[in-house]
Amino acid sequence: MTTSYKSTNTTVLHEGFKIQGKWNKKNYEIQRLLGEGTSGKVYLVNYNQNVFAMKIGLDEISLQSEINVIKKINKKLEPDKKIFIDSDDFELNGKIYSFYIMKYIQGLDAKLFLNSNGQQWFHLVGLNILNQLQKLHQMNFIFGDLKIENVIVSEFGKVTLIDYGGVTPKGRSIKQFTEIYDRGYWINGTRKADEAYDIFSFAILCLILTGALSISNLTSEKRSGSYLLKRAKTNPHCKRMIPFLEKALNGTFSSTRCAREEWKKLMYGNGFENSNSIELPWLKPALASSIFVLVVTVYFSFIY
Amino acid sequence: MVQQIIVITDGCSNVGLDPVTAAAQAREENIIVNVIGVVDEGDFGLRGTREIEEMAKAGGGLSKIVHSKQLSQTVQMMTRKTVVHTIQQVVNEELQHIIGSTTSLEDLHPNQREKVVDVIEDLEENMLLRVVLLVDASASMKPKINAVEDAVHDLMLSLQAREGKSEVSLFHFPGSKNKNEPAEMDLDWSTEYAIMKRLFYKINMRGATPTGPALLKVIEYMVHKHSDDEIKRLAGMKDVHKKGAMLSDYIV
Ligand SMILES: Nc1ncnc2c1ncn2[C@@H]1O[C@H](COP(=O)(O)OP(=O)(O)OP(=O)(O)O)[C@@H](O)[C@H]1O
Repeated sequence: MTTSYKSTNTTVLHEGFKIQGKWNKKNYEIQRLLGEGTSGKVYLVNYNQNVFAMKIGLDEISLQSEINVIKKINKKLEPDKKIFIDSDDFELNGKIYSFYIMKYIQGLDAKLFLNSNGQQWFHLVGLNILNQLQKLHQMNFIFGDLKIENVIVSEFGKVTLIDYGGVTPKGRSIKQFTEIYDRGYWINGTRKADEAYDIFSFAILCLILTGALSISNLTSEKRSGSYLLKRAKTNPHCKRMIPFLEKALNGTFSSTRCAREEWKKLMYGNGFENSNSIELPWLKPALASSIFVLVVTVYFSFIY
Repeated sequence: MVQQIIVITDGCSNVGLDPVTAAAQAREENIIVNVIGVVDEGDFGLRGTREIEEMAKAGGGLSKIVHSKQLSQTVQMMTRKTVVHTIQQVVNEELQHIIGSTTSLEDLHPNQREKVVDVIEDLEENMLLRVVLLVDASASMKPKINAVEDAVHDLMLSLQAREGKSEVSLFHFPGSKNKNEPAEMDLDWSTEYAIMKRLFYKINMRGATPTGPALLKVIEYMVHKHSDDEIKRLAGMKDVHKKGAMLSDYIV
C-alpha cells in the first residue's frame, strides 16, 4: 500500500568495483548503472563471463519481499527461462547492503520502443503485455505496478515486465503502485489485487502510449473513469481499441484471458483500416538492409 | 494491534501543553505518533521543524515536511512504516527468544530471512490497524485542506483493501463548535469510505494551534473508546501473538 517515493541515496558504484557476497561468496564486478527507482539502484554486472542485472535495495524488508516473489515465480519457469540467480549482502563503509542478481533484459521501455520503431507496433506490444500478465495471473499473482518504465520491449516487440516490487498475491492489498496507473486514484475501484486491477493499469498504459492521456496536466477534478474514456475517444490511435478500453477501465472483463481475446479480435478485426494514413518507416531501412545482405552474400560467394 | 496517530499541521503549537510531552504519553499507551508538516512553498521554519521532529521522536514515529501535493503518499508511507515498525518489534522479541541477542534481519542467512519476511508481510496484511488523523484546522491551513481531504480518501482506500481490519477516525483542532475544546471529532471509528466524502466542509478555520491538548484528547479517545466490542479486539491481539510464535518454527 505504498505509492512510489523518490530515494535520496546518491552513492553510485563505479565501473570495475568488485563485490563479493557475504554468504554465498560469489564475485561480481560492476559495469555500469542501468537505472534507479524508488526502491534502489540496478547495475549491469559481470559474473562468470556473463552479464546480469544487480538490484541493490534501500530497504531490506522491501527487497526481501521482492526476492521472495521472484523466487516463487522462478520455480514455475522452464530451466532456460529462469530470471533469479542469487541474493546476498555486501559491506561498504561499515554499512550492509542487500542485493539480488537477475537476468539482464536488453531493450527499450515501451514508450521509447514505439518512438523509435513506430506506432504500428502498438497493437503487438499491447498483446504481448497482456500475454505476460496472463502468465503471471495464472500463478495467482497480480503485477500491481504496471507502467511504461516497467515494460521492456526487445526485438520484434518481445515484452518482459521488470520490477517485481508491486507483485502481490491475489486477494491482498496491492503492495506498490504508481498513482496515475492506479484504479483507486481514478475513483474507479479498490486497491485489492485482482486481475482487473492490472487490466485497468494496462488501459492507462495504452492511453499514455498513444498520447491520449498526458501525465503533465492532471488535476483532481478530472479524476474519473468517464474522463479517461473521453480522452480515449478523441484519440485516433485508440479508436479501434475503444470497446476494449471501455471494459478495461470499467472493470467488466471477467478475466485477463477474456481481455486478451478481445484485444486480439480488435487487433486483427480490420487490418486495412486507416491503411493510407499508416506510414511504414521500417520499410525503407528493411529494404536497404536486405539489399545489403544480398550484396554481401554475392560478394562472399565470389571469394570462396 | 497497531495504533497510530498521524498529526497533519502547518506550524507550531501556541497554546497549552507541550506536544512533545503529549506524544511521549501516547508512546506509553502503545500509540505511535507520526507528524507531517505541510508547506505550500518555502520552508517550514526552524522552530516548527524542531517541534515536529521532537514530537515524532517522543512518539516513536516519523516526521516529514512535505508539499501539499505529496501529502497522500506521505500519509500512506507513514502508515505502512508504522505497521511494519510495530510488527518488527513483535518479530524481534520473538527472534530474541530464539537466537539470543542478535535481532537484526541482516544477521540472518538469506534463506531464513525469506521466511521471516513472509511472516512479516502476513502480519502486515492482517493485523488490526487503528489510525487517527489529527488535522490542524487553523486559518493558515485553509489552502491545504483539499490536499488533506484527498490524503484521507486515499488512505481509506488503501486500508480497505487489506485483508485485516482497519479503522480510521478523524479529528481536527482546535474545536470549531466549542471554543474550549482543543479538538473535535469529525468521524468516529469507521471502515467506511463513503462517509468520508465532504467531511471538511463544516470546519471553520480558527487561529490558535493547541497541538498538545488536542493530542491528549485523541490519546484519551483511543484508550477508552473502541469501535466494536472489546472481545473482538482482544481476539485480534491474541492472533498477533500466535502469528509471532509461528516464527519459532522457522528459525531453528
Ligand atoms: N533485469 C533488468 N535488466 C535491465 N534493466 C533493468 C532490470 N531491472 C531493472 N532495470 C533498470 O533499472 C531501473 C530501475 O529498476 P526498478 O524499476 O526495478 O527499480 P525500482 O526502484 O523498483 O523502481 P520503481 O520506482 O519503479 O519502483 C529500471 O527502470 C530499468 O531501467
